[in-house]
Amino acid sequence: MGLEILIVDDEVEFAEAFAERLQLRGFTAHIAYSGEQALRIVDQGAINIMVLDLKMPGMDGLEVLRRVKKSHPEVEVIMLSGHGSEMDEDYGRNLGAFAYLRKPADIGDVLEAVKRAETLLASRSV
Amino acid sequence: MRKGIGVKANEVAFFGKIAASVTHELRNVLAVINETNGLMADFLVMMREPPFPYREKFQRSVQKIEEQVRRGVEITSRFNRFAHSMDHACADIDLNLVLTQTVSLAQRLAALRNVELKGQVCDRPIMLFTNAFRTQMALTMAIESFIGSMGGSGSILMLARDDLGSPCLDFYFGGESCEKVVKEAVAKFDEWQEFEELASSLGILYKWQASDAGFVLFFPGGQILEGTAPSK
Repeated sequence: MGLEILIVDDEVEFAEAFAERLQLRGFTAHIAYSGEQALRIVDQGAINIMVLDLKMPGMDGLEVLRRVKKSHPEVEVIMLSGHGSEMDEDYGRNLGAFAYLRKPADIGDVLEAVKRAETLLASRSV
Repeated sequence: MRKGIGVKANEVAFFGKIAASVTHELRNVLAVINETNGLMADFLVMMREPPFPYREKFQRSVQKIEEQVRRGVEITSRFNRFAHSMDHACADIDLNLVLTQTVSLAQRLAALRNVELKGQVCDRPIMLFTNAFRTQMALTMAIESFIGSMGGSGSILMLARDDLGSPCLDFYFGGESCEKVVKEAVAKFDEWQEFEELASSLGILYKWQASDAGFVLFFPGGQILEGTAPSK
């Protein structure tokens, strides 16, 4: 399965380096620098997994998560944030987030979460 | 805090809010460094041919950056927790957590005076309903007073434990006698009085015995929970 991953983060340098690392590992990585941009990309229908920052200017990550899970419940969302509290994590999971990682995250942890999401997506498509 | 500088609760909360926000920003900076460094490490793995003469030096540099990012994350996490301890005037908090947090923040102060500071938590949660920020401040004041009395070397071990159902915190001194350390600390009257006043306002009591190994702080009203692991 050729996974399409969307990184949603207003930190340009972080998003670009992170996307490049995912691409080096064979994934197709897209970047959205705002919540609004993320929703537009998800609406195009190609995204399988979203790696989502919580605190962004404008629409914050939790709001993006809420809207994505409502309009595209098939998209698995991994929250990745340096800001989050345990309360944010619980709230995000209740909204349907698949996993929660803290920035800066080890690439191994990210890949493990992506792999778990991939397994879940594959089981759903059977 | 020096005498004459009165800080209101809302000012402390404001300071905590700004400090927490700054630590969040620092986490973002560390994340950018971490990811860019990770990318360099990825390229290094890919550069198999032709032989790269500085590969080992590059690898070492990448590892050093990785280690420093990890260190930075630990420091900012500690500081972030400290900043959030100013959020509430009073809250339920585990003494083990207060101990771990205080020791990790005060270790640098101790190291600068060649004193090794360590903490050991109780195997059960010790719940206090108190002001976490002021409790950390009281403990740090005590630590600083003792460090100042240790003649530039030695060690302090702080141990949270259950004293027949009552929560307490022992201070053990290595390299100096308890009697000398405590007597000298108390002799610095102003500093010690500040500690005493703060401890007393938090309901913390203390005792020490010249013949015994330690100085002990008691937290009446605290509750030791049975059969559960300490808070993380």
